[in-house]
Amino acid sequence: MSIEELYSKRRQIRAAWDNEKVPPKELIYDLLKRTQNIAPSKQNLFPFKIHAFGPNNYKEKKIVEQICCLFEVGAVNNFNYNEAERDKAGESNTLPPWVLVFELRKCKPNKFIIEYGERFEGGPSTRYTQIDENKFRESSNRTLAAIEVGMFTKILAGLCLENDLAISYIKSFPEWAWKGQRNEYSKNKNNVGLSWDSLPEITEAPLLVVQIGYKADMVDPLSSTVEVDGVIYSTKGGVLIEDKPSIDTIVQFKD
Amino acid sequence: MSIEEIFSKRRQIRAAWDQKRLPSKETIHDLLQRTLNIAPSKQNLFPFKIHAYGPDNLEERKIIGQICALHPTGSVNHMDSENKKGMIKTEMGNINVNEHVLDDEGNDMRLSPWVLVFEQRLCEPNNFIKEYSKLHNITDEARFTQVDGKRFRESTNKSLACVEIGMFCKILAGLCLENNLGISYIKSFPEWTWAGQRGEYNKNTNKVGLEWDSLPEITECPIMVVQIGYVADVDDFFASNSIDPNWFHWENKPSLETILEYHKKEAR
Repeated sequence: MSIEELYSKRRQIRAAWDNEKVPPKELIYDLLKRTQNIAPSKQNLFPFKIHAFGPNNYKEKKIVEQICCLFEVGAVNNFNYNEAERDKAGESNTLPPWVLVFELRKCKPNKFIIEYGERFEGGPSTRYTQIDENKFRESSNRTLAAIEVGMFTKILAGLCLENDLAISYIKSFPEWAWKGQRNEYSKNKNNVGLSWDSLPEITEAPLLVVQIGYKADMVDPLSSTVEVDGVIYSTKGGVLIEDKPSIDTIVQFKD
Repeated sequence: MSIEEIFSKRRQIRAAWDQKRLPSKETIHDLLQRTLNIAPSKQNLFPFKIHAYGPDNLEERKIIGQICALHPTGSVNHMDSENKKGMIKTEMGNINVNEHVLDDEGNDMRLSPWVLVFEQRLCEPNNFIKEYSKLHNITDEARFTQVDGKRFRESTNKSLACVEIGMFCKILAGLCLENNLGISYIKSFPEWTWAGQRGEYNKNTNKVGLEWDSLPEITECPIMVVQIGYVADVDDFFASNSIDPNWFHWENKPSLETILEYHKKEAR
């Protein structure tokens, strides 16, 4: 299957996770292992960590969904839905079997860093700040980690789709920004749901939440898309609103 | 071909870009259009812009090479050698890089035919944003700060743009590899950070190469540089993907257990 055919299959799942057919831990591990084998990372450091919450982590997954609830109405996946909507969605179908939380990570120097970095005045951490306790949280490293998490996740998505697994991405949660002068994170407040501090395992800047599972054989009541003659559209009140910007909006050729 | 087979083919190209067989503008445009069609973006906004420099933009591509030269020794692709009559420091001592990176017609194989620069972008509200804001009786900017001229540069939106650019580039890479094109990523350049209180970017200085200000069309935070082209049938002098663990540039990723933690809790 071509890249286009494969990635065209992906849909954001909101309330249609199959809770009877659950991917085992071994399958998730295998997918992550294969992803890491082919994912790129600057100096091969992979400056992020993945917290994997599986079928047995119901409590933690409920906390994560509340963390991803930033608004009183229409929060991602409607985790704050009212009772009528809850019945419509069916609570169990909103909770995926697997939730991965990506956070920033201080790296240990690898062989390349050690051998190459020793040639510089001040040692490896002078140049490779991903391994520097005092600098790994800086903006440039966070930017790098976010890009690499995006690449990692897209490869993981491809492998999931090849295995008929669905995968969704969530980036609606309270962000943490490093304040070097104060030597602490500035943590955005969540006025509706929970903060990341509700999950003690998360100690560094969270970068992305990924959900994985099989899609149930049902219409996703919270889906923002509809299929018409094999073409997927987003709708709101019957109005087609799948409107990406044109390629000319985001690409400028320097002629 | 499976995802693993496709992405396993990718190697970072440093000094092996084919200077005779060049992808056309139509090819690059088609790859970008197909990527956009299947790439995900929160609210479909795609909060980034791509500046595409092609075969006719030799001057700009050289400038970008100099922007991506941050260190006196061992900068990515060693484009800082331009200032040193070709001389660079390596683990093998001082060498003249021109003896290793020029093709038989004297063209520099470190210069990819196409260079894409991704920068952050203020988005226009799309139909979803407009309909949603109307439905909830809020302004477009109140909830979707990617369309807010005063807030789109904030840390939250930059982080979002970075993740989405990573995803976009990985799809683009897959399409390139399917078409036998090489693709490389560069993230070694002076960073810009938005200083909201001052209302301006805090721009890291480049003590070796050039600043982004050398390229006037870059006005928002640069996030990523991508190189695309055909790979020449030569040994890449600067390749770091050695399969020999005794060679200096040994590929040693951390173990999966280093970056992955399962959380063992009792079932409910």
